Amino acid sequence: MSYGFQIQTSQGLLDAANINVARFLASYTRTNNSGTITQSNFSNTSNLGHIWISTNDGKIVPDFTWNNSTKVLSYFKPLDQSGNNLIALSEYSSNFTITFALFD
Amino acid sequence: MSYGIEVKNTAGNKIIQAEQPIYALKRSGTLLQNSTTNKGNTPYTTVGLPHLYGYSVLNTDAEMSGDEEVFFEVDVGDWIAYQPFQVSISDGQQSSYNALRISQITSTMSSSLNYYVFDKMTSIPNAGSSSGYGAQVFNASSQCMWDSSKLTHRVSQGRIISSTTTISSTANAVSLRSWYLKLTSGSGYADGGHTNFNSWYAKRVSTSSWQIAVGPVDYGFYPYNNAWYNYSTTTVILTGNAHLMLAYV
Repeated sequence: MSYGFQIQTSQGLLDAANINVARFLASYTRTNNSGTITQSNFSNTSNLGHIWISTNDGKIVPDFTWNNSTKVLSYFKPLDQSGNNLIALSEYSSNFTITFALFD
Repeated sequence: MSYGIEVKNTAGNKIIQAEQPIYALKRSGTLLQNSTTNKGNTPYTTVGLPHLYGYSVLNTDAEMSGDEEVFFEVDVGDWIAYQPFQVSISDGQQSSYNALRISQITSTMSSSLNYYVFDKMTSIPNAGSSSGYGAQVFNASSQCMWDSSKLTHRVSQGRIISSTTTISSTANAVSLRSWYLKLTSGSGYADGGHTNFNSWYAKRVSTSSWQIAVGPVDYGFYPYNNAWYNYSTTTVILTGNAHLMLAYV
């Protein structure tokens, strides 16, 4: 390399400039079936931001959508399908954490 | 920024900074295949579907909470699929599992699966300790935000996938969260029967690429209250995109 510095990693010695690492931005723990969260300083443009939901009670986490224009995340649980011997709402988490991370 | 340090690369990525804690390895271990999840023992060979091998993370250190996220190491040629958490599974021979949280179909039928739980630096015990060598960056509250020694294991990118996608990356571990599950056919009981699902999977195609797609898997047994096994018509149980992150472990 002609400038900068290098770091020893599991892939050997890498230029620091090539090492992109996820950074924690914010997180929110929720206990309801649906809702919204506004995160004005987050963007997923060019895959430089990522959101995930982790269960805190071992159940299915809700699905979600992110609107990068309004900066609003909407989370929601599917319809109850217990009438078809499928997944009931009671099998979905009532304690989960939504995490925003950055790669920019 | 009013103080501290910020280093960007030529692409504009903040590679070193003091504003936000990076994600770092918090703990790791190995899950052993749940021996009864392949009790069906006869993959749906008529059409050559791969067979599911189950690993339950319930009550193990792989179980994450809060801001943690768990990654699974995948060898080249192997692939991994998530079922939506808490889908109850029965093999017809033994009691149901409350949470088959992850499955893996491998070309080598590995019986173990290495996991790596990452968390933000501010939640890593002893983060910023001064032993060893390397460089560290602290914020104004004396919290370690970046540590060169933590980059050996690192989360490198995140994607939302809505259709089959190839990702160029030399990362060797994946976190795949999905909300898609479609029963395509089923017949009979576990031993000798089949239950075929379409679900998201991530395949490590080579040392430098991954393929993310929806594909069929033979569960080899019937799930949930012994009821799905006789579904003969296509049933969409959940729909949704795949949410994926890649990491070096």
